[in-house]
Amino acid sequence: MSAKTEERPAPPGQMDVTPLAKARQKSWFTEFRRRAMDEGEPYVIAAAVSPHEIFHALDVPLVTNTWYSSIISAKRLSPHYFDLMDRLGYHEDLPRYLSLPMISTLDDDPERAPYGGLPRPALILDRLRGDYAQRITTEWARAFDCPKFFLDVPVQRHLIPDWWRHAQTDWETLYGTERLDYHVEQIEALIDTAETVTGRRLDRDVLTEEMHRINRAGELLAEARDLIATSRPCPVALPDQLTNVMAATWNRGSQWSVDHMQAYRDEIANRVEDGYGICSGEKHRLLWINTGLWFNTAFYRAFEESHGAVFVWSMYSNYFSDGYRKYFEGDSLRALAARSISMNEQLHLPPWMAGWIEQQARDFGASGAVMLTPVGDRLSAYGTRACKRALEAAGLPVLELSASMVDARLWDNDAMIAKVGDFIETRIEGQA
Amino acid sequence: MIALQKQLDALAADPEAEARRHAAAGGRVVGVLGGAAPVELIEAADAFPLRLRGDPAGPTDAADAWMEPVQEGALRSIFNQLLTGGLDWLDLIVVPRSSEQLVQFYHLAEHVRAEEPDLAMPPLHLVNLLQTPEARSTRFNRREMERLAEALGSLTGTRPDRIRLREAIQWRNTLRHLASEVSSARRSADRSVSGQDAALLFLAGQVRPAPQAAEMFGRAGDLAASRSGPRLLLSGSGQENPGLVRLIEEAGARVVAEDHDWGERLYDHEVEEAPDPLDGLVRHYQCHAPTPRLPVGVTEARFTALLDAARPDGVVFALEENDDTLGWDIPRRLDLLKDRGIPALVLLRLSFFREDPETASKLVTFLEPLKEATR
Repeated sequence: MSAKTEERPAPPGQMDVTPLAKARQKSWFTEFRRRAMDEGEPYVIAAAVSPHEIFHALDVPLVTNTWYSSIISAKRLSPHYFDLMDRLGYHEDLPRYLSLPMISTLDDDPERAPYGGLPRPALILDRLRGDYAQRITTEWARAFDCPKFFLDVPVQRHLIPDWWRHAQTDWETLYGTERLDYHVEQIEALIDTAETVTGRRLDRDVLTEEMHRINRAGELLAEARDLIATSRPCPVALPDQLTNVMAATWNRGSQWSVDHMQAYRDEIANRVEDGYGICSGEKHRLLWINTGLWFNTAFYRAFEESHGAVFVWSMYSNYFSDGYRKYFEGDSLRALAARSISMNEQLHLPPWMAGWIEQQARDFGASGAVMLTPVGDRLSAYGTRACKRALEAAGLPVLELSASMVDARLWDNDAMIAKVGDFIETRIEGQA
Repeated sequence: MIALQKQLDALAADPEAEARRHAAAGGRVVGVLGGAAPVELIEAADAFPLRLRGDPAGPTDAADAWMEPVQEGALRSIFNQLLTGGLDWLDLIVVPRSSEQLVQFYHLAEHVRAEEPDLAMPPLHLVNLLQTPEARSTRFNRREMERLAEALGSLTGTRPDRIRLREAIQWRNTLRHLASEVSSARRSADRSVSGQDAALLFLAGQVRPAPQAAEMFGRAGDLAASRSGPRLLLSGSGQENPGLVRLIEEAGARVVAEDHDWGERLYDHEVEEAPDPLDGLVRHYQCHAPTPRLPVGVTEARFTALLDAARPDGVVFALEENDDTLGWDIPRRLDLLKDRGIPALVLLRLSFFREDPETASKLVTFLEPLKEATR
């Protein structure tokens, strides 16, 4: 979810649908604020990689910890909460992005916290990704005095190559029956808990309809992605891709997300038909790998005029179509389990991460990649070295950048632009 | 009988010697990573379980070509050994899913194996251990243990049946019981076992067969001597090398307890008797194995119990470089210690590969008032 709160002039080439996606996110927040914060309706805080679909189907307001963290960062409140973490004894190397919301609750200062701070949720849902998630969530649930639910997902033992070719229809083989059995049972337990804490009953037909709509939205995005990959020049800037695809992802299952992906796909098709490109002198197509640069998406466009270099892809461009779509007959819960069971593995385990990105490089005709490794976030660093190695071996030059994801003040824009510019000149143009 | 101190000196000089002898004599040796591998199953399959250790003085260049520098130093070192043939004498390496670091290690190793098929790497077996306290996790873990038993049976030709497993569990439980006596011996008010010797004894239990280690544990009293200095609890990251304990004891204190997974914490819960011994083993590793994935409440309770048992004069928290997990536990523990009037020192970013001179000076400064108070 974008943390942008200020109106800015539209960047050149912005799609007509992009303001609609932003407006949707604004209206989501207005609605969330009214229901959960003003009227005290039970709501849920959930990890980004958890099955939100359950709560959408229950019509329970849901907010992700990453969203509130991005708001804290955008409002430049991170330094205050970092100071508090230091005073409380949390050492400075601990991953901070996901913990900022918890610290804002410990601070207990509604005057300072964005929107007066998050009220007590009915439930905090987290996935035990890494070893620290349960610690942050346990502390947070204690501070709120609210229930918590942990999803513990068994590790994938064998990584079948080319996961994206199997993930939509052959997911039972891809993820393994034992793991899926376990995860389905776990999601059933989550539904019980969710029903208890919210006082609502899940209508499984509603969930099934949602699941079909997610597949439909994913199909439309796949078409859009293919148009972007095959068209020269690139018809859509990366920030537009991010805004539209993420809005559909967060609102997945809704009719709005299907309609929006239809409009997104159609506008791209029109641009392609018209021969429109966001950079008239396009010479190089670049991939953005790993964490998104959410606080400075303008950076993605900084090399169009100077170098004719266009960022055409990041994992957010089509993870929704490749990773979220799960076709099923009958049991929608098993398909839901399949969606969330290996989300992180697909994006961060070396062969899966590297294989998928290599495929995107080929499909998008990329001539180089920039990889962002967040400082102080061990989990997001895993897989990057093997991925870089694989891409370089496949002939794709990769530049690795390190940056803090929570403190925009530490981003030296000029230095980063110089680095990428030098990379384009020496590694991409130099080898051409 | 060889004096225990001599045995410990030999162990410190070459912890793997016994395992290599076993391999040279035609026996099977199974390497294990972390403190949550079910060694009882390995022993019941007539193989020698050897907990793998990093080499602080060794290179990491081969590992660094694949592995991110944020990975634990010990694992970077072991990965280097794996890639350079240093572990090719092992028949198998068992990797429990007991931390994110180990999961990443497993998948990266399998990735390298696929990319570099000529490398002489032993096979790896992932034990997909779940430590959430639900019955569904127990059922899942049971299948994982059965899968491991199957793999070990195929490897050694000896299936770890109930009788053999029960016997292996009894030996390990004996070791656990004796470990509690070692812990008591080092907390003794008059003549006590040093922290360094205790660390070596606990190491023996991870690199020697259970009966051999039990014999050493049983003679821990031989090492008792009159000792002075403040009693410390060492908490935090695993200390597989004795460097930090040595530093603390050279600074005039005694390490009387620790909660990391190379020390007494590894031995502090016996496997329960069950009609099917595999059920007891499953519950043990799910609910008691010392890993960062145990529920927070369980870990907190263990820490409190250890404080009660050891009654330390101070606590040293030692966290590895790039720690992203254990640091979350510290503020609550500091509050608890404050309530009890127990001073604490937090040491951050400890490198696996070198001792930071500042660590020694921080210890000296921390210990000064404690020594005064306990004099």
